Amino acid sequence: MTDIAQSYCLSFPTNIDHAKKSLVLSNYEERIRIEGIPPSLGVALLKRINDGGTINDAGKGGDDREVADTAAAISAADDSISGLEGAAAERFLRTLVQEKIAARPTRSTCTGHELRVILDDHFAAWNTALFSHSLWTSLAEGSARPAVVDGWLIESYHFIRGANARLSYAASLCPDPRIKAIFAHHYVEEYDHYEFFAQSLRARAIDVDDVDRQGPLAATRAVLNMARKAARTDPIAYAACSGLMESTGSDADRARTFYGKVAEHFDKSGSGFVRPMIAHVNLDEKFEHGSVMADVLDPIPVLTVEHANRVLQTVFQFKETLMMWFSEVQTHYHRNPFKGRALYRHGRGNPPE
Amino acid sequence: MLIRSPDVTFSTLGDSSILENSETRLTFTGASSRLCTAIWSQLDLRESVEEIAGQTGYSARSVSDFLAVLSEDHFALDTGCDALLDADAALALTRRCAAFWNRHVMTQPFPRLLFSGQATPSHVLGWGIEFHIFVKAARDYMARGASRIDGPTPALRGLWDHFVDEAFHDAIFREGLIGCGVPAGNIDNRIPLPSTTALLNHLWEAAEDGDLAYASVFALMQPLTEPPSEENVRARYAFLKEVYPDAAPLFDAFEQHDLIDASLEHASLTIEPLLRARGGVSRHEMTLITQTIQRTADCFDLFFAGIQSHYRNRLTIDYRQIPRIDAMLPAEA
Repeated sequence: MTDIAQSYCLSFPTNIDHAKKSLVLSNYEERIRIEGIPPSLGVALLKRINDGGTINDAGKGGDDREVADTAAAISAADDSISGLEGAAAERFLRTLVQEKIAARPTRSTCTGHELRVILDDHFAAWNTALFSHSLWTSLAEGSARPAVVDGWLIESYHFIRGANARLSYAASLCPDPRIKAIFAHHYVEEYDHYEFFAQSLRARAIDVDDVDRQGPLAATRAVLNMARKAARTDPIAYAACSGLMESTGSDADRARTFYGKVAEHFDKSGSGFVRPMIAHVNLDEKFEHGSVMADVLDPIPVLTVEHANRVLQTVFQFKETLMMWFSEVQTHYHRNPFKGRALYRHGRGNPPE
Repeated sequence: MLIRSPDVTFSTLGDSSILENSETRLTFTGASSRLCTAIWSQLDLRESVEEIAGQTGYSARSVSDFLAVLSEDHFALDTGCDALLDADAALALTRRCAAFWNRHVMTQPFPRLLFSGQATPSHVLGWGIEFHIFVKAARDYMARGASRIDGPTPALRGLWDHFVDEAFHDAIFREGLIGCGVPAGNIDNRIPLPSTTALLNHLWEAAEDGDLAYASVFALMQPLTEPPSEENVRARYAFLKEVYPDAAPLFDAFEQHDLIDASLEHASLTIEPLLRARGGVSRHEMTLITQTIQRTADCFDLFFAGIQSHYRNRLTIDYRQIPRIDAMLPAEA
């Protein structure tokens, strides 16, 4: 039974793909066309659920003010729609529940393991999205400019070197001794892996001192700062961000295949610049870093759902920050090839056409 | 260090050298053109006027005079300084640097679009939404910036007062957004764009870095030497309300906030009492200040670009899903 006086929550993700002629929603797996409701009203109701309200906030015997107000507004704007009833909202809600787009929140707590399983599901989908970014596809397909290859290496070096800014920080701030030890162990394993990327830079004749002097792009700092933000606000959120990072490299075979393609397209001179990165993949595979999030989360007997929601929100922001990072690396180095001699590097510019 | 503006292009036409940004075009001919070509190619690569003089064969005086011309139009910035600077010199360099980078930020595509009255309604409201999040973040980064007591009270008091002044100003913008029809639930639970998050986290890190770095971010945000007059503030928002009538309540909020800021003299640099209390700064500290100002500008660039790219239609205002696990949890056994 659906009840518009009750709170519902949306399955994540619920994307609104179209809301003009018809209402089309999507998630990771499918697109769903919702019939029988004006798209504007459907959006208003989805918005309402997303904002944390009930569809019928008054909740008294069909006194559906929000829907009625929305319907009236839509009717005023569009003469072809008239006489919308609160029943339309109930039908819509029923469809959302049947399609597993919305559900009544029934739990106030969950286990760490349950959260981890949900995060793993998201990470699988997010990895597909992350590595479908044109930065990565252009590297795999060989269409990237050599300057972008340099830039990708330079910013990857800063990012990996940034383990010293985030992992030790996470360990230092963690109030739970068990989790603190996991972070410290992870740090000990990771702290000097930037050397693999330094070797790759040298193989491409890029001076690491120049790279250090000029520092990372603002977007690379943004990734590290987002991880630090997670670390100082919640060690579980940090573990989730770490889990996303580790999941990106957890498929060692896929990574080796990718690096093979990069070498094929961008190392015709045989500098061997991808070899250190393959060595890095092999080492991470040996360390089994993919288990850090599970090691942190699985033993946790109880978390409030509100806490778990904040963890998901933090790691979602982290994923969005990674996407922004890829775009910035690609755009910046496409326009501004790395100049080793420069004392200084600019961010964005807006020169006249 | 001698920095060229990233917003300037260099070109040649016949025996002329042309430097131009979106507002100004400087043309040099004959000997001046050769001087321009030689010096422009050295910017970003050299620490000092003397180094450029050594590289180009021009006298230090010629290089210095030419750079003065470029600096006037914010085409170049000289952040070079002595090993020790007194407070006045440090303040002057801070102001020059802040003006240079503030101008850079405000001439990026989105601010130009927005403040010239050509942005779409979604862009305007999207800007209001992200700006509200930025103002609300005072309770994070300004709280961190204020949380220090080592130093003379008159110097630190400015940091404490500033946070107290700003701590709840988000309420002004929240009302403005509600007045534009954005529901409170949409405002209060909004997940910031990653570009906004990048700015906020940078501000927190600057606050963490120390009082000078923290105060430097305000030099960029409020680079004016005089507070704007009430007349100026009202004229600015009268224009914006005229070109964006649907967003008038939001601009009422901005107007109210700017008038409060002006009355609190937020145009005076937060960093000034800190510099005076120190009696000056070392080159290392000055580099921290100029670098923080530039990094803050980089983050504002991201902030504005993120708004422009995300808020393309009304749906982006109405709906940004808040990730929750509730619907994915199995019912309890």
